[in-house]
Amino acid sequence: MWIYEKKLQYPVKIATPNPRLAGLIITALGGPDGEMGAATRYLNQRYTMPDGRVIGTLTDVGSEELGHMEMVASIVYQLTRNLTPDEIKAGGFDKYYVDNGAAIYPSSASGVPFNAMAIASKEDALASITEDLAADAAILQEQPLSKNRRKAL
Amino acid sequence: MNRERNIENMNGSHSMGRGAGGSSSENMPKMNGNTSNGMNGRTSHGMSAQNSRWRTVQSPSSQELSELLEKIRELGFVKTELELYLDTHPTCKVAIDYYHRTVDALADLMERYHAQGADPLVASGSLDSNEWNWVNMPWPWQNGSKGGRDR
Repeated sequence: MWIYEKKLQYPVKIATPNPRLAGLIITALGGPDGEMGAATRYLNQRYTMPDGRVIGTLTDVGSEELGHMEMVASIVYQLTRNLTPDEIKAGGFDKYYVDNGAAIYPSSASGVPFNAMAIASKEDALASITEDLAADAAILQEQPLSKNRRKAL
Repeated sequence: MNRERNIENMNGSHSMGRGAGGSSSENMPKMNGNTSNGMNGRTSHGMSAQNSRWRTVQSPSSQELSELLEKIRELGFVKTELELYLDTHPTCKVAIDYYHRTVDALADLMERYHAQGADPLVASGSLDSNEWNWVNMPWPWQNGSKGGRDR
């Protein structure tokens, strides 16, 4: 039940290709804490939620995460423009490239394909929502922490 | 290339060069309620274009378009955020009013954007009566480039 707009939520304009960076950023798409996990998590947890406000929230957030998936994929797409074999090899991108070329294959930076084992979807609403909180907090590890406390996202 | 969006002067001034001519309109599905002359509900190429949303479009100037698009992005973000807020605060009248004003303003911007004849942001904004321009390149991740193998 999706309508979509033919635009990114925020434009992506990468000036310079960089295969090493692409091999790292792909994890923000298909890695254990990536956007694909987020979208999959919310859009699957919503079905058995007991309250319309929760279903609405999970559906709307899950849909927005699909838009985030798109932005990360756009970044990887633009980072892998017109690469020479030397650039691919020098960037450590050859292992990804030999299987996928410059296509977008959702996986982690270490090459693990996206896997729903990264998410939980439980009929117990509190279990699922607690999992959502844990997943959201997990992203904090990738962001700079302020000196004395963790900032909420 | 004529960049003016002057609907009244559509007759004979379009030169899209698609080879469709004018006769293809005879086989188009009838459109009800989109023309003000009630006898002919069909979209047609320059004949009732003055009253029809469906017409030949030409490339617009990009400066005005990118400004419109920027505003559409901003308001679209406001809309999304309000939706999330209202999901958990469904009785907040202030937010509801704000949401309705945002949606109205956004609808107006979208209409102005699509009236410029650009490649559409939503499939229903595909106004060109000759071509399903929804599939036109570039798609958003291509950042204006042609895509394809050598991009």
